[in-house]
Amino acid sequence: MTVFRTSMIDKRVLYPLGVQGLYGRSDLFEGVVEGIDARLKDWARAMEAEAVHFPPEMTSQTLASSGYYKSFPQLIAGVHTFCDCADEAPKTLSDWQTKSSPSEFMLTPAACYPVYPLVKARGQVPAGGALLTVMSYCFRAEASNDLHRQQSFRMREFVRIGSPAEVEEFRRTWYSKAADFLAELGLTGTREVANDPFFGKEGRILKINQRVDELKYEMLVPVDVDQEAACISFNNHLDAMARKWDLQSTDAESQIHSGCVAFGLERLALAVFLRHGLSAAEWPDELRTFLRW
Amino acid sequence: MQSNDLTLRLKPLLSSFLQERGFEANLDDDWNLRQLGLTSIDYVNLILQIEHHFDISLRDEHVVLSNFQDNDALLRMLSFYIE
Repeated sequence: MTVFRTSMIDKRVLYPLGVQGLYGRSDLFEGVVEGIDARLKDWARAMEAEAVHFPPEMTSQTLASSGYYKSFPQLIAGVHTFCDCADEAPKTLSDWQTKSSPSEFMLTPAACYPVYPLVKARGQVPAGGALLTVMSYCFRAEASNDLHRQQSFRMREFVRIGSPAEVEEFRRTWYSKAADFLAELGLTGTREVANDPFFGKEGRILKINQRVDELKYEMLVPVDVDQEAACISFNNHLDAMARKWDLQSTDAESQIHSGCVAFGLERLALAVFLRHGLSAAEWPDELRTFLRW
Repeated sequence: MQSNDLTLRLKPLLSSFLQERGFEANLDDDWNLRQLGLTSIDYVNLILQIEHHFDISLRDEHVVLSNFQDNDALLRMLSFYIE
């Protein structure tokens, strides 16, 4: 356990909940998360991104249509509910587990997944495409003691859907904007080629392909003693999501691509605490102003 | 393993890989694949063949295009896995 992790818990900034990767949060921690997200929302408004809000669950069918079961089965967590056929209430946890079954809900693993069926339901993608922003709790089954690998965390995403050129241009403009955003938090990062944790042997090929084509970059930022983690990712899905959701352009000749830029809010907050300490009163005035503290 | 030994093991693999795809390349000591016009699928296949040939599994951070485009970079990366 690192000194930083110990301090975050001893000083009651985060509260371990008895399982790996699940934490209660102090008002101080939430204030930083909310401050970071508020500034990202300012940017979203300036970019005229359409803000949409989803619950932290999504339908099993939407997740299936997104190809998530095949690509990332190891990260999925579903919601079970008690069957309505029992005559009496369960007496123990294991009794409840025996009498419960998978519901039609899954925990959302990435904030942008509910966006694509929403866009599909609106019909053809208009010229100029679409830009949406969404913030959601996400869940990934990755048990770890690292504070930066929480199983339940929040992600603010900017999702661009449009022509191949529009999507790649969108991603590229975020490289410098993201660095500017980090600078406002007094942080620096390193942008590196990355890959998603695709499952299995076939996933290995997808990982290599993603890296060779540089379809994913991550901004690595110090989040613990001698430890960096991806706090922002820049993703070009090419036509992968458009094919899965049959997104069509109003111009029959044009192909639809999608991409997203995702900010890990808990990780960014951890980076702020690591860099500036656990006492907000001692932070630089510029940072407190930026976070609207 | 000496760099020369690695080169000797690598050359037949690269030679056959490029021939199969119709590329002509002079695999001298400072070969460079940048100008050949390999597609990303070619590079994926090359990386998988290198892993199989040397019986290694490359770390994610080593799978970047620049590590597979010239002799020096590839040998430097392989030396991480092969003593």
